[in-house]
Amino acid sequence: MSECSHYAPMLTARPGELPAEDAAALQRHLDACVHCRALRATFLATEGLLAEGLLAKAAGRDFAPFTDAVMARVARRHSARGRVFDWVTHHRVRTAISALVPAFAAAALVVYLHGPTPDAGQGSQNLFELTSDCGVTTVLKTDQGPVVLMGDDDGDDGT
Amino acid sequence: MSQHRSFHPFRTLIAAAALSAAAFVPSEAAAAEGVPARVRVVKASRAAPAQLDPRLEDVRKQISALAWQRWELVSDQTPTLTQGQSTFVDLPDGGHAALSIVEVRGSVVTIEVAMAQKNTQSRVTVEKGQRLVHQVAKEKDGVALFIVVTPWP
Repeated sequence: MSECSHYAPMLTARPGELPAEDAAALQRHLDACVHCRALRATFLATEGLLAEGLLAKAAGRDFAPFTDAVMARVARRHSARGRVFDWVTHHRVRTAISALVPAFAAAALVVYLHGPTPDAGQGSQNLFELTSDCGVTTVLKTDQGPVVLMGDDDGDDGT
Repeated sequence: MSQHRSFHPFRTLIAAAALSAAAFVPSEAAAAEGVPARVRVVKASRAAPAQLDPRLEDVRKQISALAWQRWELVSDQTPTLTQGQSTFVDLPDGGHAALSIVEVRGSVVTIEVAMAQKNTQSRVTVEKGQRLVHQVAKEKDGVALFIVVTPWP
């Protein structure tokens, strides 16, 4: 192993990282080796550029709205109304089902319980039931209601 | 950590059905209380000239096709017909007709008309806004008796 290869891992060491003996040996090698001295200089020149760049980028961003939004959400979750709003916001499908299912159920019951019967749907006067011993009975259907005529023994029903 | 309540669609459905049923109860209770009605007894005869009692003007269309010419109002009353309980209406010939409610479904009512002396019983379904014209006595000497029942007058 050449001397440069031995000291190559130490070239990127930051001040204070190496033991005193190694640091002194590295310094002696750098004094004698132009190539390693150049590498060490390049490393020291570029070290921290990336971190500084990221910090500068982060400093350029305005985090105030983000902070305000987080704080507002935290405050909202402390109220029951806010919790309901958050739940609805995050469960839109369930909320829609929760609203529609009872509505459909209620509508179905209303139609079933209050809606017209099949017989009534054909016109209420269609539903007629008679028990009689007075002969033929006539039912006239009009849009204003039925007319029920009792039959005569001689078959004359008056019409 | 936020906690979300579990969603139970069937429980929601049952609850909705129960609420709707509860909302329906008053309607049934109203049906059990009875149906207000206007009951008119009418005497019809074939004798000329043709004449219609002005108080029967609303029935003109229903009776216009019949052979009787003169229509005279005998009595007019507004009883409340109830389910399972007969309301008796006196007739000019000394008999009476018994009216009762068989079933009420919303604005549709089934009315039972019974004439005990004539062993006749009929059930007719009408809806609100209609009226039942029912002969209650056979024609005798050209005269017949009718009742006109108007539910929810």
